[in-house]
Amino acid sequence: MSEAEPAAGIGATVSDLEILRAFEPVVRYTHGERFFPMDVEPYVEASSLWIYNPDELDEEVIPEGSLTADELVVPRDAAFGSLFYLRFVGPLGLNASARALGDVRKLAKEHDTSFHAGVGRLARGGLLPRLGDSLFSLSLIFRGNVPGATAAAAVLKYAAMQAQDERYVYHGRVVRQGGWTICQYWFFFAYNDWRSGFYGVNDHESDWEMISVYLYDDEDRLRPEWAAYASHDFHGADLRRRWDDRLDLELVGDHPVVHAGAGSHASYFKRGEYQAEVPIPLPPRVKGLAGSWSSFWRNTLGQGGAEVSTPRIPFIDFARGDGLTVGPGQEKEWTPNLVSEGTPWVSRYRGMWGLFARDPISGENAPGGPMYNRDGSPRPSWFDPLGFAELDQVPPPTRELEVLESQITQLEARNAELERLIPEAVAELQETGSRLSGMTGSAHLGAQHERGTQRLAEQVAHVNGLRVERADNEALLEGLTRRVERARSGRANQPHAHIRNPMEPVPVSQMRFNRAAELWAAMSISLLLVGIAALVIWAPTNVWAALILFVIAFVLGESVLRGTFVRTVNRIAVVLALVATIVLAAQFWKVAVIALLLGFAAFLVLQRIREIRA
Amino acid sequence: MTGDSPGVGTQRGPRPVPVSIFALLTLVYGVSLAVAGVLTLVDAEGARKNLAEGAVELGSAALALTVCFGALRVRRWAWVLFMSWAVFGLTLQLLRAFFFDDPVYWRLAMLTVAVFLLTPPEMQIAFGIRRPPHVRS
Repeated sequence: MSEAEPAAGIGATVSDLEILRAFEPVVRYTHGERFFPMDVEPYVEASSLWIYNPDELDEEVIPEGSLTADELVVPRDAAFGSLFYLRFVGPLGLNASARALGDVRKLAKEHDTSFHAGVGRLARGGLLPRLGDSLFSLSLIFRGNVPGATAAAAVLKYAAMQAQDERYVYHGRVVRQGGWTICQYWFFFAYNDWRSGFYGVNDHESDWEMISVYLYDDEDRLRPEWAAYASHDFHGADLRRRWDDRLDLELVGDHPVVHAGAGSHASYFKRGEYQAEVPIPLPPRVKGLAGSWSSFWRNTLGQGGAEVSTPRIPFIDFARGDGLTVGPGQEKEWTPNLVSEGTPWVSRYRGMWGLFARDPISGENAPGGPMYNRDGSPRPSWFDPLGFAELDQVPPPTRELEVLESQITQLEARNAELERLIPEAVAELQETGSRLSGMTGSAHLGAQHERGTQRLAEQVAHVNGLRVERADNEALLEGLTRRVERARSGRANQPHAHIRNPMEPVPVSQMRFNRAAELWAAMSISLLLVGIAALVIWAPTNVWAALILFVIAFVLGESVLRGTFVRTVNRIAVVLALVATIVLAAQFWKVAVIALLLGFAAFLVLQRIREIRA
Repeated sequence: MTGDSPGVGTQRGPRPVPVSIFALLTLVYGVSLAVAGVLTLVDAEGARKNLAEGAVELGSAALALTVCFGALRVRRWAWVLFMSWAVFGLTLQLLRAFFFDDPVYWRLAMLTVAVFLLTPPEMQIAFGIRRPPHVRS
């Protein structure tokens, strides 16, 4: 329940389309964005349908130009392990690829859609994440990935479609669950060019994003209470913000504002640059070693600091909101498209909505539809929109008081019962205790005493359990009563009370890297590799020794640029001191053992002398 | 960017015992190096190698005595200077141990002990390298 005046909302008897239109979002894109939400049907008509067979070559089922949304959902037999997928961009030859890349550069110039990353993401991570990043880039050669010119061809194809019929479309649905009315706005994009366009993690054909607005029924009006935005790495309650949360949720009238990530299209509440981190996949043994080292550093050496988890590659999701804005009263307005389980392409097409790139970690494979995951399993955000944002555990504001009061009544009744049960149990306990003390000294009552002792222990546990329950109930009652008082007086809970991991852009102060640091970040891994090659050529006899010196100098140089020299020099010194300890222990273990024994002996003698003199 | 925290200013508490032990170690080390350096120079008889060796020993002695002076006054720069020196010295001795089989073990041991003496958080707080837990940056 909100402290401020509740939002005006909309009459509860209006159509689903009117409800959707009343709360449709205002989406602010980043300058340089090349794909915007579109209608599914022209995309399907511009695509071809393919089938992947595990043991054979992929087969084109319906060529581009012949496919329609109706054709897409026709039931087709397929062997186990096979899957259907669309291709928005067909296979490209060398000439077509070169032409596409050239044309897209011209298009960017004409429409001023070039993107400038600004502060390099690489400068935000250390040497290890950058090494991971290099390996990640290399892994694209071996993993399946969307070919380089595909993004360019997709840009051209989408631009041509927009030139013919410029529309910005959301696919909306209204669901009623658990006392809530949920408006879901699904955004479909022809392509996700986060990697090729914005230095991100992946590229894939087609992209589905979604935001939800949760309404409650208040005297025949539907009023908004929550907005939830789907975004990478965030789940459950972290995805939602309360309608009166003016710190995080920006509104234009009754329309929530979304800042979309460039290329990734992930939805954010605040404008800014978000650091998405991809963990570097390490073998379990290496992870275990890293964990042990972290524990040794933090606990044994008492150095504190953040828990060293798996090294992560930093990627930036640019949600600057300085590009096109789509929404009511904005540069471009929405064209809504009402969908439900009854819409054939929603429920009856279980394939992928773009190229299946055979990427084993799926980053480059196209997504499934709004209702299904890539593997055809149900998508929770469609089937359980309340559980998706952990709202299944939250009653609508108009029911909150009723739910709280019912809980209070139940707890009070139980406590009244406990008030009666506890003295009864204590009386029984005292009887058992008296009986046991009466047996003391009577040898022939040994067996009976043992049984009595066992019963006494059970009764003690029972009485303790009842007392703990009463204490817990009282504490809970206190909290619930306070909450009821707040609810009655119209005061709200803290709007951020449910958030565990806030979704915050990287503060500008943390993005201040000088040119030297950025240049170094861009060049360092290549320099390291060239340096190692030079050592192998010119210092082959002492290559390992030289390599160690080189790496230490490299790390220290890096730390000077990053302003972390003091911390780094200490870490290196401690690591070297630990190695030195092992070397010394191996060399002088006898001396060390003798010294320890002598030291221990001297300590004991001193202790004893002190004891005698005391 | 999470950089090094700045020093905590000029207000410092009493010198911790391990810092005094460390200062004593560096003093002994510095004086012994100075003596060795002078003796090497005296015996050099114009040999270029011995002159260089003596100069290095005298330079190292000056460094050790500077660190000793800074440690006695619990100065931040002394801690940083020593850690840098320790990285250099330990790397050198460990490379000699692993690849050339002629480390100077007593130097290795002294540097190791000194690193462990100055690394605990309370030592870093004393030198102004990190802030006490209750002080916000």
